[in-house]
Amino acid sequence: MSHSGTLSSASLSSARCERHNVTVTGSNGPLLVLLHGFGTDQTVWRKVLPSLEPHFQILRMDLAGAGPKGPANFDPSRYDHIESHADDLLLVLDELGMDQCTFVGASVGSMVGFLASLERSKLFRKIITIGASPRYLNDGPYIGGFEQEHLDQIYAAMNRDYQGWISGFAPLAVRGLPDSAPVKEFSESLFALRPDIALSSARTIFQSDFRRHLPFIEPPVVLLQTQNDIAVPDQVGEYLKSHIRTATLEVLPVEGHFPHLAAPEVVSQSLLRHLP
Amino acid sequence: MQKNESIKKDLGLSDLLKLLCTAAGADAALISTGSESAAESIVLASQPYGLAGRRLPLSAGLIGACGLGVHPTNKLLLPSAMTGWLGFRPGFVASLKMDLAEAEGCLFFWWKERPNETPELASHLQQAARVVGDFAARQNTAAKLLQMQERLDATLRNVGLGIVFVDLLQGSLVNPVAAEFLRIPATTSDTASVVAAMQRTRSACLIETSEGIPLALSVTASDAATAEYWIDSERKIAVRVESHSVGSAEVPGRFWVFTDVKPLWNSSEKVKAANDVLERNVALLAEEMERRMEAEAELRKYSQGLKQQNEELEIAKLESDLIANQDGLTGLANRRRFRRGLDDMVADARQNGSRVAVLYLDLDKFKAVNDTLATNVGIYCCARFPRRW
Repeated sequence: MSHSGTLSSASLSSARCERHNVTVTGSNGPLLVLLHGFGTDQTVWRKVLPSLEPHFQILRMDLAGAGPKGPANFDPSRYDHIESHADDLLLVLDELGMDQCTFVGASVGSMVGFLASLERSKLFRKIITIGASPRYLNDGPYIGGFEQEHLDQIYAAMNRDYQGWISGFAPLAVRGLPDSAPVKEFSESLFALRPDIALSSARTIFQSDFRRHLPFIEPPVVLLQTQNDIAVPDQVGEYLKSHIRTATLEVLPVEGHFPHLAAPEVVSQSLLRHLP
Repeated sequence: MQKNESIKKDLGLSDLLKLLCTAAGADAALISTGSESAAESIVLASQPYGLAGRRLPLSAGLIGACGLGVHPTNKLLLPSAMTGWLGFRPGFVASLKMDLAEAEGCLFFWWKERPNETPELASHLQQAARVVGDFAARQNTAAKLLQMQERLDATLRNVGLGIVFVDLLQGSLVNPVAAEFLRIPATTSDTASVVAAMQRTRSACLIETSEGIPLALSVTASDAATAEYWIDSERKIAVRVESHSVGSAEVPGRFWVFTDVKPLWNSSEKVKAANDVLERNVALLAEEMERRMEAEAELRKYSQGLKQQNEELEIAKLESDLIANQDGLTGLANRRRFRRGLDDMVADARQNGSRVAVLYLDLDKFKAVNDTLATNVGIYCCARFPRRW
C-alpha cells in the first residue's frame, strides 16, 4: 500500500522537507519512518540503520529545533506544544503523498507519532516506541518519575550552566560511563543544541500530559522499554500498555533512555522482529 | 467612564462562538486567523474552550474546503491538537472566511456526524461569519476608543485651560479648570447640567462679543468657531471663551476653551505667550476629540448592527433547534431527538426505578406505495401515518 519508490528528489527538496532535513535511504521495501527524541537529531539512528536499510525504505527527519537547520526553524511560541511537531510530521508525510508507514519513535518522538496517529490512524500500520512516556511528572498514584521541584532544578541548571548540566545529565540518561562512546555521542548532540531551544523543548516535553489521549490510539503499538531509564520508570510502560488498547510491551535487556545508541544490535533485532 | 463598563459587560468572542455553535447544532467550533497565504493560524476562540491562543497549521485542503458548505474531513489533514482537544475526530466541517478587523480569519464548525444540510444551516453559517466579523471589528473599535479616551483624559487633566466638551449623544466632559470656573463638580458628565452651568455663568457675566478678536485656532475648515469675553465683575475675572465645533452632522459635538485673559490688561507679551499655549493645546485637543467622536460613531454603528444580529440569531437558533430535532420528511422527531429523549427517559427510569417501553412500528409493503403512486404520495403517507395513529 505504501508509495514506496515514488519519492522523488524534487519532492524532498520542498521548503518543508528542507526545513526538517528529510532524508530517505534504504531499499524499495515498505516505508519506515524513524523519529528521534529530545537532545538528538536523525543521526541518532546511525547505528541501527544498516540492519534496517536492506528491508525498508527509511524516512528520517529532524524535529523543529533539532539538527543543523533546527535553530532557524524553531519558534518557541509555536513549539510549546508537542502537537506542533505532530503536525509537522503529518504535513511532511502528506506532502510526500505517503498513505502508509510503519513508525518508530524514540522518547518524545514516540509521543509525536501517537499524536499524529490520532489525526491519521490509517497512515500508521504500526507504531513502535522506544522509551515513550505520556507524562513525566508524578500525579497521585501515577508514577511519571519526576516531581515538579526536581524538574525546576533541571531547568535552573540548564539555564545556569548548560555545558555543566550536560556533563551530569548525559551519563545518567544514557546510563554509561562519562567516557563511553554513547555518552559522548549524546553529550555532543546535546551540546550542538542551542541552549535556549534545549530549555524550551525540555520544558514542553517534561510538562506535557497526554494520558487522556491514549485510549484514542488505534494502530497496533509495540512499546519497547529498557531498564533503569531515568526518564521513563517501569510503571510508565505498564501504564501505557494498559491504556492503549492495541499495545504490547517488550522490556529490552538493556539500560538507559538511549538503547539505540548504547545497544544498537539489541534494538535492531527487536525492531526486525516487530516490523512487517 | 460609563462606556468602559458597558464594554466589559459585553459578551466575549468565546461566548458569542458558543451561541453560534449551539445554533448551528455543531459539536465544536473554532475562530482563527489565517488564509491561503498564511501557513499558520492563531486560534482566537474555541468551543469547547481551551484552544484559544494556540497556533495551529491549517493544511491547504482545510483552507480549500472553506466556503464549500458541510464537508467530510476524512480526506483533510486537521491540526493534530484537534482530536485531543475534542476527544474525537470530527467527521464533518463547515468553514467560512471572515473579515476580522485588520486580518483575515476563518470560522469553523465541526460535527461528529453529518448534519442535516438545510438551506437554514447554510444561511446560519453565512450569518455567523458576518456576526463574528462585525463583532471583531467592534471589539477592535472599542479598544481603540478606550485608548483614545485615556489619552484625552490625560490631556484634559494636564492642560492649564478650562475645557468644556459637549458631545450631544454621549455626554460631556469638563476639566478641573473649567469646573471651577463654572462652579460644578469636575465629574459632571450629563450634557444638560454642563450646558445649564455655562448659561448660568454666562448670564452672570458682562459679555463682550468682539468681531476683532483673532481666534487662537481654527480647528477645521467648516469650524463655526466664535470667540467672546466673559467678564465676571463679582469674581473679578475676565475670560476669553472660544467655541469650536467637532464631529459631523450626525454626531455633533462642540467644545469651549476658557482662557483667563487678565493679562490682556497687563502686557501684550503675556497675551502672546498665553495664546501660544492655547494654540498648542487646543490643536492637540481638537484632534483627540475629533478622533473620539469618529470612534464613537463607528462603535455605535457596530452596536446597532450587533443588536439586530443578535435578534436574528435568536430566531435562527430556535429554527435550527427545530431543524436539528425534526425529521425533514415527516415532521416527526428525528433519530437525534429520539436518541436524546430515549437516553433521558432511560436515565430517569433508572433513577426512579420505573420502566420505559419502546413501541416499534414498521410499515410493511411501503415500497409498493412509492412505486405505484409516486414518491410524493409516499412522503405524504409517511407524514400522515404517525398523526393518524
